[in-house]
Amino acid sequence: MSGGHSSAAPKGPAARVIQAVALLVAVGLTYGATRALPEVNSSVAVIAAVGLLLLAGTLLSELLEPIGLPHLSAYLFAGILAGPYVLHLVDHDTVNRLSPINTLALALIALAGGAELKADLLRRTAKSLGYATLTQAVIVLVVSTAVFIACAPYVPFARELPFGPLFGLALLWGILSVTRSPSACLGILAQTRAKGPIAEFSLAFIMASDVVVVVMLAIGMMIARPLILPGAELSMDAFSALGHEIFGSIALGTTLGVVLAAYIRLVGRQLLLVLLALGFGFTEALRYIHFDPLLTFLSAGFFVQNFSQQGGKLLTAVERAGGVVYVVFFATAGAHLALPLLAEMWPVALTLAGARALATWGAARAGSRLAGDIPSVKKWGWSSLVSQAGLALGVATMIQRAFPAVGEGFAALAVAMVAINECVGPVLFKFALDKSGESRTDEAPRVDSELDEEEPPQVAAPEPAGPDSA
Amino acid sequence: MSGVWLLLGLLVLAYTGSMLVGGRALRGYGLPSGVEFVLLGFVFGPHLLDLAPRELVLSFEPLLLAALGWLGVGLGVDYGVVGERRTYRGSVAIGVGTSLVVAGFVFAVIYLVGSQIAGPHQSGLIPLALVLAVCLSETTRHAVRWVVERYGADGPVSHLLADISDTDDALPLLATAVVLAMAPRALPWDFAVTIGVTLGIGVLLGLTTALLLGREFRRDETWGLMLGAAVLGIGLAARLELSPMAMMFTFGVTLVGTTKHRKALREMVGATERPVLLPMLVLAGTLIDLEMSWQMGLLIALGLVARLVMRVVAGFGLLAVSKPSRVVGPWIGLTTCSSGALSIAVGILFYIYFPGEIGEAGLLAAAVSALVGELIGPASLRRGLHAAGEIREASLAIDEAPPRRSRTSGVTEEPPASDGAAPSQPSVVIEGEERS
Repeated sequence: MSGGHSSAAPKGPAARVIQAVALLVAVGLTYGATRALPEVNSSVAVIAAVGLLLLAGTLLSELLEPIGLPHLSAYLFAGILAGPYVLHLVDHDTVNRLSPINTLALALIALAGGAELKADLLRRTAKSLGYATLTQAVIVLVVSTAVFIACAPYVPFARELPFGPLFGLALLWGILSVTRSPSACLGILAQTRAKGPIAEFSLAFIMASDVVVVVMLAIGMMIARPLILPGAELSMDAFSALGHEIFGSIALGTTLGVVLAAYIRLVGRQLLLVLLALGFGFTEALRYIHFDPLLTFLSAGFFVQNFSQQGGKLLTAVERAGGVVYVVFFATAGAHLALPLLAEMWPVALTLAGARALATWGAARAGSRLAGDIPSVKKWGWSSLVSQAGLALGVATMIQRAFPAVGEGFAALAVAMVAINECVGPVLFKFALDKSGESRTDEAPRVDSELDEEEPPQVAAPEPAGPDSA
Repeated sequence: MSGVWLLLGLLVLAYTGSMLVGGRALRGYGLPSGVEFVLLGFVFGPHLLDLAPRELVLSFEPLLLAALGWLGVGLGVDYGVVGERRTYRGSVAIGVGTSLVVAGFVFAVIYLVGSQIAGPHQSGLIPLALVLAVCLSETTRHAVRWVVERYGADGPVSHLLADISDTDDALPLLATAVVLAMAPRALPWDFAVTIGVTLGIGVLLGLTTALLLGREFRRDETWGLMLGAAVLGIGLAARLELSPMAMMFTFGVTLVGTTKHRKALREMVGATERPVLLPMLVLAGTLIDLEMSWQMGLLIALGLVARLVMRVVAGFGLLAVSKPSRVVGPWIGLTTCSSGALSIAVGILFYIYFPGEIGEAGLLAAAVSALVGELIGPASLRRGLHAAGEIREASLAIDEAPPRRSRTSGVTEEPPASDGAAPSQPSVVIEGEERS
């Protein structure tokens, strides 16, 4: 999941030099092209941007591997460097045009997340999950809300607000703080191939927390609307919509899971194209009927894993498809980071991010104590919960749309905090997995011959064309 | 139709294409040129059902350019190899030479006739003649393989024709770099610089990728690196208004020429060819525009006739250099009349880079050429190979009963030879040289 090269063998100095030279070639060519022709149709610029982000992300992750930086962080770093605020190889408009890649990546992440959730694992960790969900939701929400109110004098868009609207806004900030990053979690787990209690707990908790956030957001919006918007009244309509969204998404996801399982069993080929169609087309349909794509794909993956024999095949296919997609996804996220905004808001953003991390740590300790978790989970269980990425930004965008008067500043602050968590979180999680001994990066890498023995290539080798040729 | 629906339709086509590659489909479906998919696109296009308006299709320009570039990678990686064997050395010269002669003749005819008749084409006669010449130059390797496979042809003539149809792809691919150097451009680069940059970037990226692949081959890692390098190259070509097909062909040739993983690369990239081709052919069909001046129509018709004439003439040259092909007779040139996916892809490229009548003429000429070639090429080829004794009598019965493909192995179950003899060993003889 962390890119197509998660299982790469350790490489010597010569290979690193080649990678560095290749990176320079890629950046140099793109730099030359963008300087030779600065103004260009951005739909055309998208192609070069995808290629550059993919190649630079892959190479940079290899180059930074010796210092222990997660691949995911390297992809982000590549995006930041190539993005509109540093080298300007990929401009704003192009970054926005790459959003279909995000759609696809999120669908794959949710599918993989669901498929990683084994019923057996959920049963084993049910107690931990229950307490952790409760403590994280309550403590992080309360602490983040309180710290936001305390920081309000230093937040430009909240400085002048009376307590009612400020509380509403702070409540939404608290909910935003509860969001985690399934993509970062899966990315690190795929790179480290970690197995153990921390990996299991993180996976199960983060995937399940998505549902909790959806519910909390609906409730939070319901409470905050009359506080922030003058004239608005408390309405229970949100619950009706929420029920429709959650149950509809799960039902549709289960149906999709049945279809996927049947397809894999009966046909079993060209899963890459099926996943592409699902990622682009099905997501669009889900948005149209106001279902949650993340929850739908999560349910589908969960069904395939737990109610059919096809979970392994689905995971392999998603990993293969995602290998390339995730590099571009995270690199795009890096290019998206508004560095000037971060420079402007960093003291407040850092305070809020610090408070969130502290609350997360405290809540994890409390939850672990209540559940009687083993020491390693008690010590490191929180490490995976610091990362934030797409889900948090999605929530911020929803809040921005719902409350346009303060939403823009709110979203900007959210982006600044996510930027910090996005950079720190993956490093922390990988560090925890390494320290606890759950990482298995020292295992022998798989080469193509092994892969071929394990499973036949999805597409048969080319053969002389028959009459079906085009 | 919205963009999402069109994208889904293209994915369905890609799926269909990949299933056909996968080998579960029975042989006997489809045409070698793939022109039926162009016709399908034409039906969907603005002239008939208008399900895919031209503006919508053109909003997929980045995807089209990526597909064209990737096709270039595939042809580059597979260049000089037919099935499991390398093409005969001399076939490169024969293939490229034949294409060059045909393209030259078409160019001359279009230029001479075009300069004599007044019309809107006068302002860009040289680019128009070049575009048509390049679009009408190649012989599709699919048609030759189609006949060879379908009828179990095996022998020096079928090998020679397969080699020629494979190696002649280099001309239209590289010629796109030359023609696009004449297209209206934002960059004030001179002609030679433009071509040099096109090919230079391809070589540089190919070398870099080969170095990155290193000694050990890992499929997933290779995909990331190769896709990254290829998409970057295609993007640079698109940004700098260069030919992604020429650049990526050079990339592919350089890559397989400098890495030891060439067989694995061919397998990987080859499997993606059909899924890329089918959607591209359908999109080409939607872009075809029949509304043009009569002068342009006349020039296209003349170009098509010139191609056929020169193919026949070039056949005599073939007889002169290849002894075994002499048994086919003087009409051997007709066996190389089929054109197909590559010509249409080149037509799409010109359609994008030469907005207006020139681009439209190129695409239309490529599509009509594929249609005409479909009527002449495979039948002539079958007759020729039969005359050369390279098609067994039993194989001719395939028309009535196509051979079944094994569901498990994907290997064709060939009909038994009438005499029970094993298939003959292939041999190619060109002017005294023999290779088994």
